[in-house]
Amino acid sequence: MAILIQTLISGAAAGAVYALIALGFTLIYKTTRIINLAQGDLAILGAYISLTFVRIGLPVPLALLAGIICTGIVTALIERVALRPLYRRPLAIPILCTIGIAVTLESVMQVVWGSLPLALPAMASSTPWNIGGVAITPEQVVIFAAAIVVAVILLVLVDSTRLGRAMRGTAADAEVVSLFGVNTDLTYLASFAIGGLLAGIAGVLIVPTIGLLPSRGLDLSIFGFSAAVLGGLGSLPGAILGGVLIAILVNLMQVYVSPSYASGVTYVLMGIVLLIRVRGILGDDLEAVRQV
Amino acid sequence: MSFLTPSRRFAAFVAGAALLVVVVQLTLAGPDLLIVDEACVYAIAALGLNVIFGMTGLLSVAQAALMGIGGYTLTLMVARHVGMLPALALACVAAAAVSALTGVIGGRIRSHYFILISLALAEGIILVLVNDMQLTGGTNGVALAASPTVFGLALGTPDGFAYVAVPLVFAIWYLTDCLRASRFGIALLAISTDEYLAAVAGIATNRYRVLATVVGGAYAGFAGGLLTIADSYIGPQNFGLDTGILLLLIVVLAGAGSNAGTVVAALILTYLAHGLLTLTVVGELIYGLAIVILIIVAPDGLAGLGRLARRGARTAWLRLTARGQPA
Amino acid sequence: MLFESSGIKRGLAGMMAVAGIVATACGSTSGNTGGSADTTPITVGIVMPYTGDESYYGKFADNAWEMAMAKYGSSINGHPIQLVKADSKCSPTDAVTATRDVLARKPVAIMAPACSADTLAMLPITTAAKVPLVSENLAEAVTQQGSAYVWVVNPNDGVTNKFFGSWLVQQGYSHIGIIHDTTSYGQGNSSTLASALTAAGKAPVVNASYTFSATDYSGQILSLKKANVDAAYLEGYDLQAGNLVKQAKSLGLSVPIFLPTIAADDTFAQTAGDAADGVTFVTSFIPGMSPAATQIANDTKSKYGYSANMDSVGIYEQAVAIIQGLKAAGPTATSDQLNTAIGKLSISGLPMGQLSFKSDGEINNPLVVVGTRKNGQAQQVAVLTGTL
Repeated sequence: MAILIQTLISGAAAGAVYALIALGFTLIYKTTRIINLAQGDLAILGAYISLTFVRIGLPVPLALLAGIICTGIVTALIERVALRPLYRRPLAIPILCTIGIAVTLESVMQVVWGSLPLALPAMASSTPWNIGGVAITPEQVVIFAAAIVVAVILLVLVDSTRLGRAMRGTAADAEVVSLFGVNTDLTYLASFAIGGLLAGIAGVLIVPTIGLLPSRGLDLSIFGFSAAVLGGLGSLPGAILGGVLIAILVNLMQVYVSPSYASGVTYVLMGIVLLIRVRGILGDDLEAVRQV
Repeated sequence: MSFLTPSRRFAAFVAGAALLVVVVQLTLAGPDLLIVDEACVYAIAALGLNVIFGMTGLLSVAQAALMGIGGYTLTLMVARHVGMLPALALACVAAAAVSALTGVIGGRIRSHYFILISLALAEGIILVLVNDMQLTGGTNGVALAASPTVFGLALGTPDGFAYVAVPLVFAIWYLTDCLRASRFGIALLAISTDEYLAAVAGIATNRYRVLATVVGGAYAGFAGGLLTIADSYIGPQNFGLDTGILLLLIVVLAGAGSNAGTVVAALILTYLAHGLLTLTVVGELIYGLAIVILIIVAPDGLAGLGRLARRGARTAWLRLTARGQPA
Repeated sequence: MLFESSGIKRGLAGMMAVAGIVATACGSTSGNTGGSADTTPITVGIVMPYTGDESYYGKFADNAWEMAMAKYGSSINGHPIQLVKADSKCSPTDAVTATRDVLARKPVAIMAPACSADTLAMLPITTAAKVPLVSENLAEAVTQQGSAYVWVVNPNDGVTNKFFGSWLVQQGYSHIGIIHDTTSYGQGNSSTLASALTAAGKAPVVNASYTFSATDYSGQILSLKKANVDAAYLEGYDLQAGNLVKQAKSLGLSVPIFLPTIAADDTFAQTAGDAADGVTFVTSFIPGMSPAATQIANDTKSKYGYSANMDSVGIYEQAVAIIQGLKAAGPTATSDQLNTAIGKLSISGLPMGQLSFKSDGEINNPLVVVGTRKNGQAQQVAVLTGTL
């Protein structure tokens, strides 16, 4: 029984991070319909930037915050420079561009920080408390709490603020919404910037556990997409649900069925969702479904 | 191409293949020859991806993983004393069958979101290849049990392989051109341009999409088998997302579903990604940046540039001979 | 008209981008260009991971050659040693390509990559080309392929774990759990330890595996907890082992942790952080164990900034073996002759003791030592076999 609880707890902590990645990814998709394949790399970039701030002497919490903000800025810059010229082209082109951006980001990280593994200090210690045979680390608690706070803020933002309404409107119909005085360019920019911030937060939370290497970005991306698809492309609560579900399922598979093939759960789930119920669990966006 | 009749086209392909084989053997040696061999393999796989993405509009990163299916099928068959050619054929079939999975599942989603299902397939295949110690040897890879020879040429050596690979590329290029001009190709063009109208015109869009993935998968299986023969070794590291993205970028660089562009782009990108840039740290960065710049600035890729060059040359020729009206 | 000019402008920009790419492509190719028909330089090949997660081995290799050449010379009778490098990326298929690349430049010897699976993949090719492959790999399979052209400067895991396994049982552990990776190195390491433990009467109660690219080991760690082990043997490469140990501590695995030589590496220590303190490991090199060992530890730290460990010292001894072999065989020796010369070497004063080879390529007089990590340093605990 203790092992089961342990598994669920580890799953919940990892799931919180996947949920953040999925949230950023979904927000961008929701507003611009672009699939941002660089989301995971942006998260790792955030961790690297934070590490640099730590190295120049900032206290850890400040360094992490600075890293996160920089990631948002970088993402906004990328949108402005690389993606904005592509909005009038067929949708495949911006998606391809995000692939190019992912490749570029990974190589930038390799050039600037080297390809050897580095260590980012965590926000809390990883020495566990032993509660009834189950090990919970302060770090896991912090990750979970941070993710909840961020998710709530984001949901409130999208639901109630003007910007949030603008984002939802742009997703539905960009041309009509501009007639109402919404600056679509600025809305797109904002969605990318916020997506970048979310990625940065996810990065600094998970990197102490998985290690800081340029190649980690892709793995994160895949979990994020899986979570977003499972939860429902275009649904923010769905992204959160998907993230936690996937992490718990993978962990359960790892402990009880097969440690090696556990991550295969993500791929199989994606396949099943896209085959049976394209809208996922909570999604209502039918954009992805063919109309023919 | 109005001055190239079908028979002249065929002759041009044969002549081109022969010429290039001679040029390659005479001018290149050692490491450069290895790159050309690799480029030939990637060109074949990229031509298959051209059918899937360039002609049908299905954005896929799974082509490299499908190469892996082909390569491992070949290795396993050869280990069981199956002949090299039948093993290659089986490699094509296996890869085509797995590729059809994406076509079937992707039947319900829009083409540009196809990338998600292809991503899941690619990673799933790698997961199995890396973990199944019994069948595939995991990350350690497997040596090919027998090395084939053709007319006394050892295919496991760089120059022996080049003798066979270069003509194969031309043959497959020609085949793909024929495919594009065929009913199948025209149907694919219709589907990728406007699905509504294609369906209205009576084209079975779903079936053709699945067929496209099957055909593209067969190319990948063939390329994977060839790569295994060239190396006399196979390991999962060759078939990951890096290679999948490389193949996709080859097709994008080629532009507009062009086969000629695909072959040329394969050569350029292989040389860049695996040849020149291996020991320079900044090399990867140039590769990534160049791709982003190219996508933004030259959307029609090499084909577009080729078209522009041809148009410019034609205008210059007309002006020179004073045959046409000044623009 | 507006259409056309913007199209042409874009096209020109595109052409310039492509030209830029092609221009950079028309630079020199990778690695050293070999001498032309000139016989003066002696070409030695290096196949090592220079990029990727294990790229510190590439760094170790470059520095090792620097140190070895400084001490033993960088030319033989006026013929300079010329190094040609290729990147194996700790991936067998890349190692195969890298080997063909290097062989095209006709080296007289090749320094094998640090990853055992790579060496195993390369071995048939280098053996067919009759070029000696000098390695520091720990997998015993390397010398069991029947090749006459491979020389290993470290004791392999079959030898090491035979002593380590019986030592573990002597210390009183009876329920030992093993977690290992599925690379050739990991599999060889864990299976030799498992057989040693079984021979001592205490077969491991759990033997779980993970793939090289995995990052989450909770499944494997929890299976050890479930089995109530009294000792855990965690194997991996530096980064993986570091994460493994850290996650084990986070999941509350409180039994003594044992590792292979990897525990003495800086990358492991950095990755594992606090969790690295108190682990015990088996190795052939610990800094304070002999004057020569202390010397190289100080040199490595002062010149390059990292701690010497069995890998970096093994790579150093690879270079020394090649240089001394060349001295014995002469600057114009063929690779075959060099191979014979290396087989007959007997070098003393090295950090890991006397170096000489058996006919199958294994080292004579293996040195096996147990160490532990205390306060960020590796300290010797016991010598299991061999002379310092």
